[in-house]
Amino acid sequence: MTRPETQLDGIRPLWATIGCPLICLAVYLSGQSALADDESLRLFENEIRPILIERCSRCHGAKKQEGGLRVDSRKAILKGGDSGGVLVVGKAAGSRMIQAVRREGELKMPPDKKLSDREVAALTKWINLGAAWPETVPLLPSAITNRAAGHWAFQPVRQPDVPAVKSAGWVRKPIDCFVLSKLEKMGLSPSPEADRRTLIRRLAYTLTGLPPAPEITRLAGSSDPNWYQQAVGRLLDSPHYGEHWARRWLDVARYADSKGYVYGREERFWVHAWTYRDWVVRSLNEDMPYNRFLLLQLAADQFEDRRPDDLAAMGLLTLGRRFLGVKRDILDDRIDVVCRGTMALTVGCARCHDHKYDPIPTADYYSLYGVFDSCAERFVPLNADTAGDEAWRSELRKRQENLRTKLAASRKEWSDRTRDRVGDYLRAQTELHKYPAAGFDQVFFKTDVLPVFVRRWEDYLHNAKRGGDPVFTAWHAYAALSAESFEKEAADVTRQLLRSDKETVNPIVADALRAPPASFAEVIDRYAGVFAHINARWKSLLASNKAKPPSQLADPAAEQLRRVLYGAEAPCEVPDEPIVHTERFFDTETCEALWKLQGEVDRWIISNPQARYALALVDRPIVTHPRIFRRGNSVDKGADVPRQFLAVLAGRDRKPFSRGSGRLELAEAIIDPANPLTARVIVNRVWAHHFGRGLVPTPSDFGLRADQPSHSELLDWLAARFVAEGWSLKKLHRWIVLSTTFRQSSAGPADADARARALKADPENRLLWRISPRRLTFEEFRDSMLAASGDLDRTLGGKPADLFKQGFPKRRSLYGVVDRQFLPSTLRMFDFANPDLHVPRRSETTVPQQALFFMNHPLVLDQVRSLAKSVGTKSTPEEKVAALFQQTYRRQPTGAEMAESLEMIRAIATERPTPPATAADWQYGYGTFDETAKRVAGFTRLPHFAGQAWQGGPKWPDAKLGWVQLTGDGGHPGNDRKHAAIRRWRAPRAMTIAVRSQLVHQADPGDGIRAFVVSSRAGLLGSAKIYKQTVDLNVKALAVEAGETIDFVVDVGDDLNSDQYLWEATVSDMKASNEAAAWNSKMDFPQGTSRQLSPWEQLAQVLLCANEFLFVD
Amino acid sequence: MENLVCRRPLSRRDVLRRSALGLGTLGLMGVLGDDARRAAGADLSARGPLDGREPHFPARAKRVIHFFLNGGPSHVDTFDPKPALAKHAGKRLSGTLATERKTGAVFPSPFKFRQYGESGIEVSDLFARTARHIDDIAVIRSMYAHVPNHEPSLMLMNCGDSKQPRPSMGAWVLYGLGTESQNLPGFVAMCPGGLPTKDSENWQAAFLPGTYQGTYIDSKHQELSRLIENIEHPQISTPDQRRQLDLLARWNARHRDDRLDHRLDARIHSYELAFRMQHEAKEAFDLSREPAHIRELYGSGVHGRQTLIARRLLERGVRYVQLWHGAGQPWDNHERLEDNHRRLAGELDRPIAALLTDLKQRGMLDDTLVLWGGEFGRTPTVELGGDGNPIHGRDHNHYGFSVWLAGGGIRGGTVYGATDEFGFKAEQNPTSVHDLHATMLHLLGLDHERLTYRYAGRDFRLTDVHGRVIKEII
Repeated sequence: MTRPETQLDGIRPLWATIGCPLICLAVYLSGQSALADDESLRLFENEIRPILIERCSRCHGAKKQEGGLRVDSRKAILKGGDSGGVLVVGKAAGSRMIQAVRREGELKMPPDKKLSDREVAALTKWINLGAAWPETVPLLPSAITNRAAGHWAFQPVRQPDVPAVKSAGWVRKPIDCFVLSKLEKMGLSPSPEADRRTLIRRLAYTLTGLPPAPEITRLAGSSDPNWYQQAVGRLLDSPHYGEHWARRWLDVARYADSKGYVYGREERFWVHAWTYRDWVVRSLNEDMPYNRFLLLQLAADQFEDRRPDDLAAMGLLTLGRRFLGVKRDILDDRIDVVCRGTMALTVGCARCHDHKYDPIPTADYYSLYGVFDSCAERFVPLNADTAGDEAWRSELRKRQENLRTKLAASRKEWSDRTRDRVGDYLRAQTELHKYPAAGFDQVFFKTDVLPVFVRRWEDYLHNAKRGGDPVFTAWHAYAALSAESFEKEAADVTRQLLRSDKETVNPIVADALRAPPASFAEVIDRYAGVFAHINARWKSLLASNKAKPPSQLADPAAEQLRRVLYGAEAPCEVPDEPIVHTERFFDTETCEALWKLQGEVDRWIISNPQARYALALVDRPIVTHPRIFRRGNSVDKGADVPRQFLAVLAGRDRKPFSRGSGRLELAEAIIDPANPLTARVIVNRVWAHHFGRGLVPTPSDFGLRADQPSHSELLDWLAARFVAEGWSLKKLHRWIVLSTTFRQSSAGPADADARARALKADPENRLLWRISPRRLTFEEFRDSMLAASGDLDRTLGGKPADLFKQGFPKRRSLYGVVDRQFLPSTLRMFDFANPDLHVPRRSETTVPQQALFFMNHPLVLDQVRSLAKSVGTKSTPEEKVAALFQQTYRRQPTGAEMAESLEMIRAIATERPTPPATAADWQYGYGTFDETAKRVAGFTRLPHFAGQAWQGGPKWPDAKLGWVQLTGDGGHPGNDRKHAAIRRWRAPRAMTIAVRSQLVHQADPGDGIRAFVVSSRAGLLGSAKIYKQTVDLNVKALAVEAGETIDFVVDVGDDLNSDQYLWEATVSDMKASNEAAAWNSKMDFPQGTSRQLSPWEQLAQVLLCANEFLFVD
Repeated sequence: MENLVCRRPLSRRDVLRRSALGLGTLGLMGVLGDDARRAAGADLSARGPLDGREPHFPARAKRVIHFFLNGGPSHVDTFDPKPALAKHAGKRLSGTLATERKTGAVFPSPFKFRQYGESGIEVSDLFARTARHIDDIAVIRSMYAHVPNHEPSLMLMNCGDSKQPRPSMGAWVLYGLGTESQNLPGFVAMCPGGLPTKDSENWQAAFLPGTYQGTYIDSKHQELSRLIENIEHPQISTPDQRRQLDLLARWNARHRDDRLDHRLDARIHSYELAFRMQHEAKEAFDLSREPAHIRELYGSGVHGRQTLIARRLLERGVRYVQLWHGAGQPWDNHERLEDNHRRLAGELDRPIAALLTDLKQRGMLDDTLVLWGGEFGRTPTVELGGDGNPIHGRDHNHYGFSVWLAGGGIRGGTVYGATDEFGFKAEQNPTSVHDLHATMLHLLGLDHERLTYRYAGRDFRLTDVHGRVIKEII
């Protein structure tokens, strides 16, 4: 076996190794000081060791030996490289090493950047002093290991003492001591406490993502000294807490409701995503301990005590992008979401080569790859018996059965075909380059040799070699021979094989090779012959024992061979797994047919909003033995690696996973309290959401390039307490939000000098001398807007809906569809977490397209209308303004704001003619003039106002209603007599009216129109059939009752052609003399204003657009 | 958050300085942080995400227009003449490379090649008008990709990685250089009639902030409201909206007064920009403002229209425009290639030639980089149907294909690299997509090894760990 290509040179857990050179030195000095003088050793530790590690060992270390030289041990450095010694002890001047670093000769080292004079001097001195090297350091670690050993994030979490502070009176919670002691050290003062209204608003948003409900707001005025604690308690108990923090976890989980790009044959929406989302909400609301929260997401399938819905937790693993079904990319995504999501380790970097910055070798990546590669997906109905009615369930069963039948038949077909072609697949092993990896997609027919089987055979043969499978001993022995000398050496090999016992070489194979083969091709033929024979023998045995089919062949040697064809690990067998795992085992046509059937099942489930499904992972019965893909190339396989945990965390006692895939063991290792990362990572995430920035500013990268935490001890204190107190997130929230630190004002210290000092010393506020204001996310903004108008539907859970579809759903944004392939541009514009990637922290950009959204998007305009409407019942303008402020900002307007608001309302009102009161008495619709009854039948309002006209839809003619249209001047009848254009006047009270009207038809083509004036009570009052004419249609005097209608009806002549007309009508109350008692069809027609924002709506929009609404202090 | 400023009223100069399309905030800077500072060698600390930025070194090109012939145009029928195909017509090639589908015998080009310009480079009749500009064009005949499938190859061509979600070239360029447009998106992708295969992934921002994502425009439409989202305000009159914004500005200013937050200013000004955009964007898309002879030059079809719009956008400072041929993958001519290629090229040849003429007469060709190409080329052998009979088309070919570049510092009249005798595989100077990207970035003044962004523990580049600037064509 080859040496694993990559191995950490420090095998002990890094936090347990002695990271500090000074300690090494102390150890050395106590025991070894007789061997060399102190100065020389001190020089080694302080100067030489860092130079060798940081500047030399990358090219001259364990991994690479440029010029044959290694400098990581005394022995190696003294030995020198390919061109001889580099170091003459005691004689720096004669040492090539010194010449090289001085860049005196041809050789200039290090090649990239020369050493400093100080470093050169140190090396010179060290060599002259005898090149002392402590015996306790037989081998220098690599630069990364060396650095990792001292890296803060890999040190064990210890609970530090709470520091003492001068202003003890400021302290409410332990975290205040950590924050304040730092501020005091820097000579900075914290900010005073924010006012109550601000605190309530801040709390409500940070805990629930919503503006405070009135009952929470009221606490601000309470005389209860515990008002703040009460608010925290109520908000944490609110189900909206779980929704809000779920969204934050969904960013981590790269949540989406769709699979991303898939081929047309496949359903592109997930069946199960939303059940995962609901599971996260519920778990957070129940304050499920975080360790269990993670455990279930990684391995819920392996828990006996889980609740049925807990399987939904595994959505974390299964709802990533689909990468066109290419396994290595799907698994890569899972490794990334797990390692960065839970431990802030960028393991994905090690896919192609050892991590450049962190102690994560490629081998570790493939150890985890093996874990996930040993798992298969499985759809699990969570409420199979109760979802939908019997008809739905029976249709589902039918579709599932169709899929099952076809899948079983296809599996058998292809397994049999592959067994019949063993020779072809064995031959393919000698020309593997012809069989590209998945991702190089080809169209296949039933006659083709499929690459997936070729690769399975490749793996099978590799494992046979590793495990010493007697069936293939001969194969591998011959395969080792070169083509040129094959014939010569084959005789020897054959002799040896024939001498071997049956544990080493399968006797039937040995027998087939009795005559030495002349070429490897001949070896393949012999094997093919053996398998063909065994296959035939087995088939005939089965055929002759139909009643009681045998389970094996009696002859052990034959049975051994039969298992290669039919055994559980047989490379010929299409695995018994869903199509998502097996699509490449079929020809293209079969594959598409299977996906279509799978799609029919999926779509049927999706069509039922009650049907809840989980997509779980389960361990495969046969686990895979991972191998490194060299440079990430899956067909270029390197060393075998065990499935095991990361070296940097598992340490010296690392053992391969032994239970199934190892997924549960992986999960256990992640949540092990000794794991230095997991607790630190989550408390940092929570901290970052409360304060706008983490103690560690890179929440998903705690590697060597992560900054030191701003408050290292605080991070550890939180992490340690968090674990000690049962991994409770709600407790963690309390520690934070109940602190004085969190209650500070955002304005900074009241004292101007103190503020200026703080701004200068810590402009980024990393030390928390104030609270940084927070901008609402898009989701928070939208929810707040709905809350302001009272429209917010607070129902929990369920299927997602399209937030941007006209009619605009009123549920929280959490329940909006996240379609990763067609993410609405509005979401992207507002920095929504890209659902393709694990997003530890959202960007926050300000671009004018966002402003355009606020100004012009129908979703905002709808809400603006609704908000204005919600204050419509207030009687005075002042009350309306006050109510608008209350609903949006939870405060009263200032005097200036009141005056400015009223001024705006007034200005709009004076500039714009208000629609006359009489306008309300007109309706615009279509229907039929019933010639027998002399009445109008089926009056229906026209659905769409296009600014100048009422009509069937935005397009005219409308697809359904055709040409029917009414304008201020006249209109156009519909395509037939069932679609007459009808302008309807409704009497608001009983009175006697007169009607004056003039009807004009002008167009030359066609045959003109018919017109009727019809009372709902009295029937037909007048009519005309005109073509290029003008007529008056008047009613002299008519007593009407309240609610009676007078219809002005126009329909087509004998055919539809150029039927537009003008018809102005005035209805007047004969008794009244004022203007208000006359209704004029033209004056009363909406002047392109019906959809225009009213003054109050405009004001409401300003309130929603303002920064006060969008920012939280 | 890191959003403190010593607040003072914004002067007009401040406004101008910050008023590139996107207004930066220190909030964003928190995200970009070190990454942004590393980017483009520019100090972004006080700038917006889309503000114009200095390149690493003096740029030859300021903007890019990319004709994407999605589906894969056949190189042996356009810019890579292969007389051997006629000579060996109907014969089987030995050692045919694996492609997506099965192909049969050698399939000669049904199109005639002629020499053009002083350089005498041969181009087929399909692009006869474009060919008249050949002395401004550098043809790379030795491109290669990794797999013969559309999706990964589209990703490779656009984002430099065929598998993982990575930022597109336009997004990188916007990140590196910002945009000079005050009122328009900095990166525009137009495709008439719907999205190309792989949808908006082709112009994705991936881990870069969403601001850098390409803005998609369905150029089939002519109404402005369908071209740019939220640009029109049919429900409120302009004077009313102005009054709203005045009140808003007053309230926002008051709100800002006792707060230490840079983002508040940014947001205040974004409203002013948006207000202006409503008018000026309209103008940019209004082709009726072009003289008749220019409209005539481009032609009246959808491609003429979208190309002319593209020119108007580039003229107004848009950094990167991608013009796709149409929804799906129109150039994917597995069958009846002759008819299909003729029709498709017929739609494009005139607009492309018009653009080159037009850019040149405006002096814009010097600093506008034009790229033409698909995600791969096509096989020199004929595709076989399910019954094993030829179907008069060509299969995908990622082993060798052509793209061409013009303007923006490109040495015209150049041919770089070559495929084998039949055009199957890049043989001489094989050129990776990374090389192409490195070269384009170079012309834009960006060092492809220095334009990086820290994500998930790595400093990512458009060219990953590859890429060589093709000095021979610049």
